Parts: sequence; C-alpha cells; structure tokens
Amino acid sequence: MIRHIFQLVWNKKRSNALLFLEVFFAFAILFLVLTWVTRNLRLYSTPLGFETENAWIVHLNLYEVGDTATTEEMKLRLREELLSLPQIEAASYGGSVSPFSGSTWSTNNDNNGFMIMTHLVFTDEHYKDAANLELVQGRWFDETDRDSRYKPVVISQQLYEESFEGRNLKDSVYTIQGENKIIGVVDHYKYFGDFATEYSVSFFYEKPASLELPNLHLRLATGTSVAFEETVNRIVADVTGMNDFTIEHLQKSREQAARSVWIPMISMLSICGFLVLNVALGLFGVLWYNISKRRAEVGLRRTLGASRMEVSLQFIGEIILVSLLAILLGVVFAVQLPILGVLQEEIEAFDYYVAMGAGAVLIIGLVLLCTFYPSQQAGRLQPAVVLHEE
Amino acid sequence: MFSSYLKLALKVLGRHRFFTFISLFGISFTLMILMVTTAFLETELGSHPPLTEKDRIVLLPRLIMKNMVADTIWSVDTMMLDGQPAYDSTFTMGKKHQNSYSSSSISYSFLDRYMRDLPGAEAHSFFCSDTRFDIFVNGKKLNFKALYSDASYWNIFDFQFLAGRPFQAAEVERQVPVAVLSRKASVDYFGTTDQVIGRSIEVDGKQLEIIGIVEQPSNSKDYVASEVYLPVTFMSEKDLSETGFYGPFKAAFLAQNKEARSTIQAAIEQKAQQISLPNPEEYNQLQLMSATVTSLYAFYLVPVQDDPEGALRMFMMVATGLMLLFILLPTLNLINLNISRAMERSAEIGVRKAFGADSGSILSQLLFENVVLTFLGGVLGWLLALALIYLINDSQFLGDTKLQFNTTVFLYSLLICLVFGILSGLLPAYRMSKLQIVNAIKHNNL
Repeated sequence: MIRHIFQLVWNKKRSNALLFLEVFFAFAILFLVLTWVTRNLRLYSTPLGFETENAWIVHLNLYEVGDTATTEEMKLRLREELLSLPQIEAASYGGSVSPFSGSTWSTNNDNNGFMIMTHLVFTDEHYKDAANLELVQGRWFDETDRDSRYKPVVISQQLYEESFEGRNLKDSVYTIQGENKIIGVVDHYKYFGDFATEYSVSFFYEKPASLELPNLHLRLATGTSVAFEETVNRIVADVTGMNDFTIEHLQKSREQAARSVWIPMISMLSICGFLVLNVALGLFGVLWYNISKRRAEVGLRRTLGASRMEVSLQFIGEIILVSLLAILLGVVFAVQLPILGVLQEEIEAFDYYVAMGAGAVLIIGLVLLCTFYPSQQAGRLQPAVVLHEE
Repeated sequence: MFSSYLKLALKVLGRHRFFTFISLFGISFTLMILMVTTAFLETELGSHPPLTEKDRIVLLPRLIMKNMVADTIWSVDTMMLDGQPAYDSTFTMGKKHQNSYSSSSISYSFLDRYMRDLPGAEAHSFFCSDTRFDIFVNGKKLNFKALYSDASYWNIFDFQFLAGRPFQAAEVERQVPVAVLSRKASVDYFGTTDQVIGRSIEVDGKQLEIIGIVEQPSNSKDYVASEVYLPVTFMSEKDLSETGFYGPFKAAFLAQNKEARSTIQAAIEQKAQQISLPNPEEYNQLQLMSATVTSLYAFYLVPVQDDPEGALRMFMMVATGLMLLFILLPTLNLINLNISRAMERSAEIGVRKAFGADSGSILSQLLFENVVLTFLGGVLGWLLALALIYLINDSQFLGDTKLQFNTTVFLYSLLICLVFGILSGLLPAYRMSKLQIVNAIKHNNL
C-alpha cells in the first residue's frame, strides 16, 4: 500500500513538487515564528519575583547635591514622613538600577576558583518588604549589616544554582564585588520584565541614607486613590526642595515592557495565521481540482472492488506523504539550529523542539482537514456514472 | 484585442467562484500586509518633518571607553646542546582583548571642545533628550519628557510648527524663559492647541512662556520625540560644566549633502583616535559611535554592540529574508491554483492554437488574465489596508506613531501587485503555452 502511494506520488512529481515546496515553506515560517513565541511564553511563565501592583518609585536626582550630610539626613526625613502616611506600607531606598529601567550593572570573575557572573542591585534593609521578595534561604539584610566587616550579599536562586550549589555559604567569604558574605537567597528577580531572560542577581547592601541609593520604592495600601500621588509629590517637593524628580508606577512600566513584546508577537502570529489559512485554502482548491480530474481512475478502482474508504485513504495518503516528506526536509534544516546552538543565550533547545513539534502537528492537522472533504467526495463517486462519462 | 482579453478574463473569473474567492483572498491579504508594512516603514523612515533632511543627518548618540590589554605568553624551550641543557625563551604578545568597557551619552563640554568644526558639517546641535518631569494639572499627573537644545537644533530637524516659532540663539544665550510644546503635550496640559502661544507652563520650578507648538513626532526616535523643548541653558550648571567625557548629551550634524555624511563620520572617528583619555590606566581606547537616521533606527531594533552600520546590515538581511519568505508562500499557493485552473482550459487553448495562435500570444493572454486578477486583489487589498491602518491608528496600537497611507506607498503597492501577478502567472502560463494541440483537445469533452 505504502509503496503504491510512493509510486503514485512519484508519477505526478511535477505537480507534487509545488505542493512540497509550499508545505516546506509554510513549515519554515511556522517554525521560526513559533520558536520565538515559545521562548517568550516560557519566559513569561516564570514569576517576576517582586510585586509591581501598588508599587511606586520616586526617582530622586542626587547628582547635584552639595553637602552629603544634609542630603543623607534629608533622605531619612523624607522616608519617615512618607511612612507616617497611612496609605504607605513600606518604603525603601534602591540604587539607580531599578526594575524595567533598562540600566544594568554586571560583573564577572573567577577569583574564587569558579566562575561568577552576576548583575548587581543595590538596596537597603527595607527592600524585601517594599518589593515582597521571597526568600528561599537565609535572611534579608537588617541593621546589623551596617558595619559588618565583609559586605553582606543576598543572591538569587539562579546565581546559587549556577555558582554556589553545594558550597558552604554560611561561613565563607567570597569575592563577588569586594569581599562578600552571602547571607540569603531569593527565589526570582526578573527585573527586565516578564518576557526577559532571567539573569543572576546579587543584592548588595547600602544604608538607606547613602547617596548611592537615589530611588525611593514605595508600597501602597490596596485601594489607594490615584489622587494620592499629588500628596506624595508635594511632600517630596517640600522635603527635598527639588522639582526634577519623577514618580514611576511600577505596574505601568511592567505593562509597557510587556507591551513591546506582545505587539510584535500578536502581529507576527496573525500574519502567520493568515499565511496558514491561505495555504489551507489553496490546498483545498488544488485537491478538489485534482480529484475531479481523476474521476475515471476512481471509477475503475471502485469497479475492481475497492471500498469507499480505500479510495478516500488513497487520496489522503498521497497528500500526507508529500507533506510528511516536506516537513521532514524542514526538520532536517530546523534541527541544525539547536544542534549548532544558534542564539543560545536567548533561545533554548527546548524552544526549538517545541516549535518544530507544534509546527509539524499544525501543518499535518491542516492538511488532513483540507483533504478530508474532497477525498470523501471521491469515495462517494458512483463507478457507473464516472465510467460512463469517459 | 485588449478589451477582448479583459472580457475573457472577467468571464473566467466569474465561472469558478470558489477558485476566484481563494485566489482573491490570498492576493488581497498578502498585498494588505505588504502595504501596511511599507506604510509603517515609510512612516518610520521616510523623509517627512521633522526628518525631511534625514539623508543629510549624522547623529552621535554614544561615547564608549574600553580598556584593551594584550595577553603576554612567556614560553621556555629546553634542549640539549653539546651535552649542556640550553634554554630558549620567547615572549609573544597575544591578541588584544577588552577587559573593561563602559558606554554612555556624552558631556556638553566634550562636544563643545571637540565637535564644533567638523569638515563637511553645515550645522551642528548638542541636545539632551532624557529628562522627565511629573507635572500636575487639575489633579491629573502628566509625565513630560523635556528636550534641552540649542537654537541650531531647529535648523537640522525641520519640525512642523502648528503655531508660533522655535527659540533663537539669542534667547538661548540670554536664558529667556521660553518653551516649545508638542501637540499632544499642549492638548494634555491646556486641553487645546488654540491660543496657547503666550501662555505659560511650569517646568522644573520655572515659569516658561510658550512660543511654539509642533506636530507630534513619532516616539520611536528619542532625539526628536519629546513633550516640551527648552533652551539648553536651562540645564543645571553642573550638567553644562561637567568636564568628564560622559554626560547626558547627544549631537546631531547636518551634512552639505548625502555623500558628505561619510566625511563627517570619518572625521568623528578620526577625532576619537586623537583625543587623549583622562585616565589611561583605566581606559585606553575611545570610540565615538556615530550613526545615520536609518542605521540608528536599526540599532535600536537589533542591538549589535556599538555598531549601527552592522545593525542595519543585519536588519536588512533579516527583513529581506522574512519578506521573501512571506511573499514566496502565497506566490507558490497561487501558482498551484493557477496551474489547476489553466489545465481546465486546455481545450480552449488547444482550439486557439489549432487556429494558429502562437505560444507567445497564449502566454501573454494567460499572464494578462493573472495580472487582472492580481489587480482586482490589489484593489481589495488596498481597501483592506486602509481599514487596517485606520484601526491601528484608532486603537493606539503603536502609541504615538500614526501610520500614513500616502502616494509613495500606493505606487509601491502597484509595483508589488504587478510583480506578484507576473510571478505567480508565469509558470502556469508557460506550461499551458507549451501544450500539444492534440493532447489538449483529446482529453477534453468539448
């Protein structure tokens, strides 16, 4: 049976070549787009690690301050004053690398005898409450860390797995940025946004008053009205005597960062959907026509005792064979990407394989759907009628 | 001849409605997507205000400092020479590699010192485009971007003024409190763009008089997109006098003509070689990343580190590849369909040939029919594209970027239609024209 179908396909190789090409390119496009979509959705499925709902950041500009001592005192006063409002539940100062801002600071070294690659984030002891970080090991910073001999560090689970798994954290001093003691591990900190790759992160401690921490993170009580922002704005302006600060709504920034991925993704998917629909309709038309050309053949087979089912299966088999061959060729090309590790940092082999599978299944499903009706029709032909036409 | 071809073509289309529908669906959607894409590219990269002179503009957005060190390899060979061990040591310098790197926008004093008289540049402007302010109006917060610039900024970027005028060099110098607003900012702040000139706005604790309103630029280019434009002298003293290389500024240069752009870019590169770095132990190599409008756009899309030209090449490659793939699929589909349709007409073609028509005229007739079909699809696609563009603009899907459907785009689309029609009709028509008369007539029940 299968040999027979091969023979049939080969006999009509010229018209099948076009079909073959069409399925091949449809698979290629689907594969590329789905790889990218899979990657995005995989990243989207991991938690951000911090809360953005009801979180604001006041970006202060501390570049131009003259006197360090007064500014430090001003920073503490600002925090106290804002915390005294019932709407504000937590307040914490952070470094200029803030979530979704696009700025980073990273470092790598092998001074400990193994490789450490990490992004640096500077915070004070209140940040865990302001951002609702989830600790999986150890503890967060507290006031005792202010004068510790080795700079305390909290690392993310990813850095732990990459570099510290199985090592002694408690009593060892590691070189990350200076000499550091690792006091805790948080589960996630995906500060580039929902669709970004998670990087290994280390939190470094600074005291709240430090000029290195210009961003004031605020956690608001649920249900705080939008108008409250003006109050905060006035207090900040009064206490700091500055005008050039801005208040960022973290949830908005998060949505904006996600939007820049959603938009091209939806555009690409709809274009892809259209292409696939187009191919499906084309396939349907061609099949319909081909079958109507081969009426005599069907009639002959039926008189020789083939059942309706067998006739339908023959047509479906032919098309499926051509499609499978085209997809096979596509897979041969596609498989090179994960094997060669193309764009390894951004796209995992997993994404490529999922996209390959999904693309193949989608195309086969589509082809089946398109062949079903015309081949059913072919099965229903009356031998007497078609042979008479001839 | 022409009219009979046309009549025939329309008749054929009417005969098999289902096939015609499939073909038209494919053609019109493909062309719609191509038209919307070209409209998008035209809006983003075309020559219109404020970038009418985009082909003469060179931008300098970034300064990079690197420390390049060479590995030194010390190897000792030992051998026996006259019964004595002899040593032969070699010292080789390895390839240079980078061990520290930093990049940022540029300080005013650096630009002021080195970038004033570049050969080939007709005008230059230094501006700072990344300051933001929260402004409260009637309890509503507005987050305004402020762009600080000198007066020549307005000569390089020809903003479309809805009302008023730009600020002048004298006003910048004397710190006259004036500002130019964008249309959106004016609507957000005053609720209107009428009679806003002469009113004042408070930015950074200063009352500024509004002297001009400009049409909203697309927000994908940060060197023109802003809500409020201020004289550069309103920046803090520290930002202007900062003597380091890094600062918040960028520069734009207007070349005499398109070709002079490379002169400017070469001159900038040459300057980078000559300028001595403040602390050579930390960084020993300076790089000034200049770019054209198009390459900078590509650079933001495909970040190839510090190389806008490379980014543009990569972008063009990926975009062309995708575009080709995208056109290829519907074309293949159409070819497939067309072959089926044409086969059906083999009897007709056989008869025409029997009465003396040559292959060429058969070919041209079939091609013509296909082009008619494609143009029909083109018209449909054009209507669909208009609808889609309206929807995209209406839903703010792309933020402030408003797609425009203009004549250039329409001409491109016509060209695309023609190419598409010929491409998808050629193979089937060729096959049919080569048909043997006997076979063509025999297999059909006329």
